[in-house]
Amino acid sequence: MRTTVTIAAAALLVASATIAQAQGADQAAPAPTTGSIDFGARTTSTSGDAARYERYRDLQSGVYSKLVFGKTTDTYLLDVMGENIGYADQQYDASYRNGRLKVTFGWNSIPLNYSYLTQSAYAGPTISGETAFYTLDPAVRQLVQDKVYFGLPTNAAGLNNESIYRDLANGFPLSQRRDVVNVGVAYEATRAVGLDFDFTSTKKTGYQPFGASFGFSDGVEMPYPLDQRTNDFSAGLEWANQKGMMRVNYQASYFTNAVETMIWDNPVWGATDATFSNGYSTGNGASKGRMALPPDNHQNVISVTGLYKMPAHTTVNGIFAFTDQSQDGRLIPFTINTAILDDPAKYPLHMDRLTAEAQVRGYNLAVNLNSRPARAVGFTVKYRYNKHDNMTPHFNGEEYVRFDQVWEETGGETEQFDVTRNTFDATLAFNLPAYTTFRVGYGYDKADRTGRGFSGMQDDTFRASLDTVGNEYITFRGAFEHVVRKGSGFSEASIEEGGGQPGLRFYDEADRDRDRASLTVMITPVPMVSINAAYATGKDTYKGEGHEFGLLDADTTTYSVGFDVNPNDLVMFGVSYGRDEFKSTQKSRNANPPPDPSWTDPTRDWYLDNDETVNNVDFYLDMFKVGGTTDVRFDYVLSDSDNAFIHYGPRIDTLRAIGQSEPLPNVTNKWQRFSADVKYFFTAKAGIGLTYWYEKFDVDDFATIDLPGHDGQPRVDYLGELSMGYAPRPYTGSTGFIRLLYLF
Amino acid sequence: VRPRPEAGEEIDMGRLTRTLGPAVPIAGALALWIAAVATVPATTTPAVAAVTTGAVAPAQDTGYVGEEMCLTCHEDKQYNGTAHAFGADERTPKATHGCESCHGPGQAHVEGGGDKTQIKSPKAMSPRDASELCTSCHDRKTHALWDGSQHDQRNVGCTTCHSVHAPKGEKQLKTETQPELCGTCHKNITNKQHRFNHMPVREGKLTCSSCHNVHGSTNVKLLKAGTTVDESCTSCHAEKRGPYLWEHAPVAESCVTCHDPHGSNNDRMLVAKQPFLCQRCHVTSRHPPTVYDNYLLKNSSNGNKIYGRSCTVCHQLLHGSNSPSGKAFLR
Repeated sequence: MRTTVTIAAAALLVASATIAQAQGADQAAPAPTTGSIDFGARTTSTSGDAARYERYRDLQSGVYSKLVFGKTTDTYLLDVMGENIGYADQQYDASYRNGRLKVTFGWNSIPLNYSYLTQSAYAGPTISGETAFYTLDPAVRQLVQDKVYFGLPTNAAGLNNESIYRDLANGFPLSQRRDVVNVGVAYEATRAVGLDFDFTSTKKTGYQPFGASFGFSDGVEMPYPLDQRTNDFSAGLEWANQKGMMRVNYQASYFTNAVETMIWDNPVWGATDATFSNGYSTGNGASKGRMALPPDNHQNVISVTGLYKMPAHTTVNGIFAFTDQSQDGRLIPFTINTAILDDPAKYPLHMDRLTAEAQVRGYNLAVNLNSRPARAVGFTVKYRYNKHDNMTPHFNGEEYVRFDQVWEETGGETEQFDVTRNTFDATLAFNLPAYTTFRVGYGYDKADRTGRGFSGMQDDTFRASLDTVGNEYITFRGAFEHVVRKGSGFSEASIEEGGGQPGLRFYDEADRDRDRASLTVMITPVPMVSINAAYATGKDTYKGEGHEFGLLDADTTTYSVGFDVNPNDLVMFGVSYGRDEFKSTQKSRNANPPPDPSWTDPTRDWYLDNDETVNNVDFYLDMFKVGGTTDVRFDYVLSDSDNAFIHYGPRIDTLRAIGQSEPLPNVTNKWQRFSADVKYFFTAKAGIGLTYWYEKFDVDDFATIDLPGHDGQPRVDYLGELSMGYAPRPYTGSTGFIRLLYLF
Repeated sequence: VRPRPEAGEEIDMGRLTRTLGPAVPIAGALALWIAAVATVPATTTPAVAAVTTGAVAPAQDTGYVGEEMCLTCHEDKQYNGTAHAFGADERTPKATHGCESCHGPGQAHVEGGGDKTQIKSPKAMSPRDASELCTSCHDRKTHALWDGSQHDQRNVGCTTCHSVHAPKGEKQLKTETQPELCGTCHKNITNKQHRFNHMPVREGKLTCSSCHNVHGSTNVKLLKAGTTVDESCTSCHAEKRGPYLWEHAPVAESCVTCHDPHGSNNDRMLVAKQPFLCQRCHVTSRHPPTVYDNYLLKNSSNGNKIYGRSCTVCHQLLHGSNSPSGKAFLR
């Protein structure tokens, strides 16, 4: 089934047409010039959250273009492509190749449109040095502090009030853009020796939604300014012949961020700084907040890859890679709050060092031995070793400042997380008649870590698979896998140090039994018809000793059925239906810290069942050369989900009895896309194209807060937060193209 | 350091076995392999014949009949317009023996009146045999680790996805696009790109091979970059690479503990909706294990932990913080 937009398919059709044209020519005389001009106009109409219709595209009305040019001679190949030229999602690719040299160039702009409905009461950002400032009118803040203006609602009664910031908020499009430029050079010095170089520079600009809060009831959502660049360089030397291959590679990656600090005003407190004893400030605290944003970092990787072919259909391949990551960004002070800075009892807080001095080294080895000594039997043995060695010195954060307003001594030293993995895997394959292979395998993945609940963890995997391919009528693939994960060296203290319940186990390390099975069948009763069906199920059960809280189980079931009919090269159509089900159960306890009796009170326990079901439908119909001159393609896709969150347990019963618990409504998402593409060729090389896209998204999500009675219009001053109103909202979008087509 | 055993001292084999760890099964496997190889005569790989340069080699005593002879019967099986036909590259079929570079010398086939048993046909071979033929040339760069890779082990061969003579997409794929091809077997994965939060795959800005090397990888899940999940993800999301002063433990281990990169209806492609995802691990005291339901959403300032950014309106730096006050990823 097709999964990409019709225009891409149309472009590929053009490309394949050129291949077909070329193939129709004399084999010994390659077509010297290929390609196409696809040029026309586009118009887009949207309602609702148009940013989500565009998402990674720029669909504004205007000129549309896609140019493809290829030249083939006896000595070189040249390919050039440009698409959506001049727009935020423009893309250019070029490649040149002769007998020994290949040079490629690419420039790909990828927008990421979050929302065009977002609003912010903040002015800015003003960039000074590496710091971005967001400000609110100081007079307004003072009047909010003095309770002349209404700031943020903190209870149901307050929801009827209109915050001053709602009036001050201005709409702005929240989007970012990633520009990726790549140059690659590969040179075959001899038949056996090759060199390659690659340079990629990625620039990210714009804004992304970000949190920036002063406490539990004083949350702020910000447009975090992006001005980042990553430069990646790699160089490789490769030697290969019929017996094997060896490659030495060096990679360097440098990330730079022009904005490493953000400072923003407190919406509910004026110009003077104060401290507060907890995080529930709505009328006290810091006047500004200061946050550290991602610092510059760099990474170097040296690797050696090898492959050696031996008798008896045997190969051994492997890699050793050494990685060095480092970051030495300047540390911002503990706080910007002058009430703390000027209090000799609280400041200066102890700063171990002024820069991060963070460094991680990675040692990675993988070796694979694959052999088929006899036609009936083969085996594969794999071994991987990964060591993530965090060498960052500990930093003393015993004293710290929460939300720039709560000074306390409840912090601790920074924790460096080291992980060493040993992974072994062995598979024995029996090749049966009719291209059927039965495999059994065993593997383990053993991890030794620091700073986690379990210092050791091992997954033992037992699996079997049966694959029948190459049969004229049926392809069958089945697999079963049973994985037992067992932790060792459990430290209850490490859980309790983080404030966790002793019965808590983190689901990424907890003891777990996992069963997974999958089945895929493709039946071709006659050459023109293909029927496919797939089923997969997985069940994760967390049941280690002492495991009481956290994720308890997670099950997935997916299946799909469909068919494709392709009576000849001119007509094809197909339909598929799929359903995905996900169920999980987690357990928690709503408690205050010990020695409060609620800490050990089982009547405070609650459960959450999260059940999600997604239905998927695909349909396509392609008709080529209708009337000898027209290609017609239709495509429809539906993804329809229903996600339920069901709380239960003794704590829920108690809250419901006093009227303080209410079930959450289901979250539903329904996305549909229809596309139609018609191309009429009035000559063998020239034609006209009409394309139509239609998308509709319906969503009902409790995380989206709109103004009462105004669905689709964000409310930025809801409970305890001055937000931008960024959340999922429905949209309807349609785009039409009219294009002139010319094939070289 | 364990002391070296004295002469005559009995060695605790159980302890030794535990110490050796993976060496035991590896040694066993190697022994099995050596035994197997020793009993099987060496075979030559079904490689292409000796290289010549320039145009397609004419018929020789070695049993080659030349491409023109092949095309007299198989004119619909040309490969012009594909990379195989670029004669300036001395390794291509065009520069060596044309059709017979892959199908082998055709003299016996011709003299047998088109006897199919006298010619190699990758279409009729087992996937592994066909792949062995292809990888006799395609054994470098991204193809180097094909042997024993996940697809190789599941009887997926080169000709399962690629067509030399009738490609429909780039890289001589049998379909127009990669997601269409991969979805043939991984439909439940490709369906996820239709969810509200997704990578730019359905928009055509990324594709499956942007992250995966389906021909074999030293990383898990056939990931292309790096040797761990994190290294793969941070090859694009370099700002999350750190290392940071304060780190969030699951972030240091694997991004997919919290994110589903193939698509999700949860914001930021999370595997579950916030705050419930965070509550799977943060069973502590006070606000982390509070019951976040519709009552709080409508009645309390704690509602800001349910709507919008949820937990990350405050803990926004949970991928790591460089602030001395960054312990809880608030700054």
